[in-house]
Amino acid sequence: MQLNNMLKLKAAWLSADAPESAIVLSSRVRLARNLERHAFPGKARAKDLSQVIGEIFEGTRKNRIFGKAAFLRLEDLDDLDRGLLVERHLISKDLTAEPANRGVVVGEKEKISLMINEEDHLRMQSLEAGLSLSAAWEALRRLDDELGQRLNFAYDPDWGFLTACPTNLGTGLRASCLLHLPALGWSSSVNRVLESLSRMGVIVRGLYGEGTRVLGDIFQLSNATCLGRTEEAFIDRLKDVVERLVEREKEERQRLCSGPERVKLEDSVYRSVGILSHCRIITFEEAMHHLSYIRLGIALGWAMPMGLPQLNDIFLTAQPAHIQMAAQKELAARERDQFRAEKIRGQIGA
Amino acid sequence: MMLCSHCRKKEASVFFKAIDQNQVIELHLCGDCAEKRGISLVSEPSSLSIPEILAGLSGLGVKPGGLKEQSAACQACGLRYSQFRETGRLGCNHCYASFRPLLAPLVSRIHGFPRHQGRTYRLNSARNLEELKKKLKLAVATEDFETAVALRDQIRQAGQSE
Repeated sequence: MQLNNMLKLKAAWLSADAPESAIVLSSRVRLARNLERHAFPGKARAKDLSQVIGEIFEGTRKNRIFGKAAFLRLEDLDDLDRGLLVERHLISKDLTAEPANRGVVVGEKEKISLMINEEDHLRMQSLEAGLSLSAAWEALRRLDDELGQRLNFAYDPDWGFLTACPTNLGTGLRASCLLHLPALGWSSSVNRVLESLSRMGVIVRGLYGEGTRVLGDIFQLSNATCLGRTEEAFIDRLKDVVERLVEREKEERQRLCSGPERVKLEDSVYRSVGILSHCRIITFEEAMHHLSYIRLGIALGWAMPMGLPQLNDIFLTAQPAHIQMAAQKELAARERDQFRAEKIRGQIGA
Repeated sequence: MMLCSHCRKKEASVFFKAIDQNQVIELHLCGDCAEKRGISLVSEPSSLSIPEILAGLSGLGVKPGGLKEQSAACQACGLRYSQFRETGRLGCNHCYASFRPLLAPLVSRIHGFPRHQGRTYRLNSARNLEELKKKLKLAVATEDFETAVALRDQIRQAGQSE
């Protein structure tokens, strides 16, 4: 449990003081890159993989952006540490499946991070609070320029940056935003709206990314393709879709509040406050459900027992690895649910 | 009314064009037949796995010319094309050169475009310039003028930044 210090640190993307932060939780941009002289991680020998980590650590240490960064090898961490990194969106679940010769670099305030030897040698990501895709891209573009001089990236003039999977070929760019869409979900028009997005080159997923169900009305929107346009064009198109969706959600919130359904919505929101203030056992899924209602209550300006910064913090720290890290030991599911209820009550001040 | 070229029963609503080497294959399918092959206007391009997309392409008669698909292997890492078909993952960056004619229709199908338009990387390096010139020669020889023009621009750009 060497990463328990991380619990005390505030990740920058949890800030509630960012563009559209009442609806957009965070903006993320990642770039996939591979080193020219090594086979892709899936085909490389252990010796090669270890060299790749060495070369990338070496290349990034000299970079000012990583002055206060943590350079970690996954094999040196325990399951709880790895779980914590997954829950903080710093590494993927896939990276933890085979921890030998996998690496991660976490920059200051968790804004910039690198994942080493997942599907590609290098995945760089930039994470910002609210709708801040341009700021996230700007930071990543600078990093790409610098690292590109120190490392030799695999590149083809026709096909761009070469990646293990052809779906990431070209720019290697995936931009995404996490959106809280409870009002669209409430009126069950969310599916219709999301369906129309696929025609605009945007993919929609639940909070945990690929192949998972949607928790707490949180949706992840990302670009579907990444070759054939400039990086800025892919980002602008996503931004455009996100902005339209934010407007739809605002309209829907307005409609709910001024119509006959308002009292039903109030009932649900205040019941959620009651449950989180008084529960003694609560699963992560149930907590997310109620936190979603409270988040909506805060955004509507109703009297809630917490503000957006606190709520964002609970969203993060109610997750299983965070709960166990806070308890400083591994807990069985039932003990975890008990500890979570206690912790949330403490955070609410009930 | 144009009938589906596959089932020949329903009206065609999806028009699909694939370029295989110098041959253009055009298909007009009804919604059902298109969906069975993973071609759909509402489906997300990357919601399909690579093996699924490949199965869809070969089912439509897009047969790669030049390379024998089953026996093709990357000279650098030894990955066989048949292994890529199963996993959807290439072995190394040289696989893209080894399997270029086989991968080209797949890349266009996934991204909707055949060529990278984003950031350039070390275009001014001598090796890259050499490669570009080789490709330009090939493009002119095969009368692929669209590619030739793009390559000419890239070579100019590389010359300027040197």
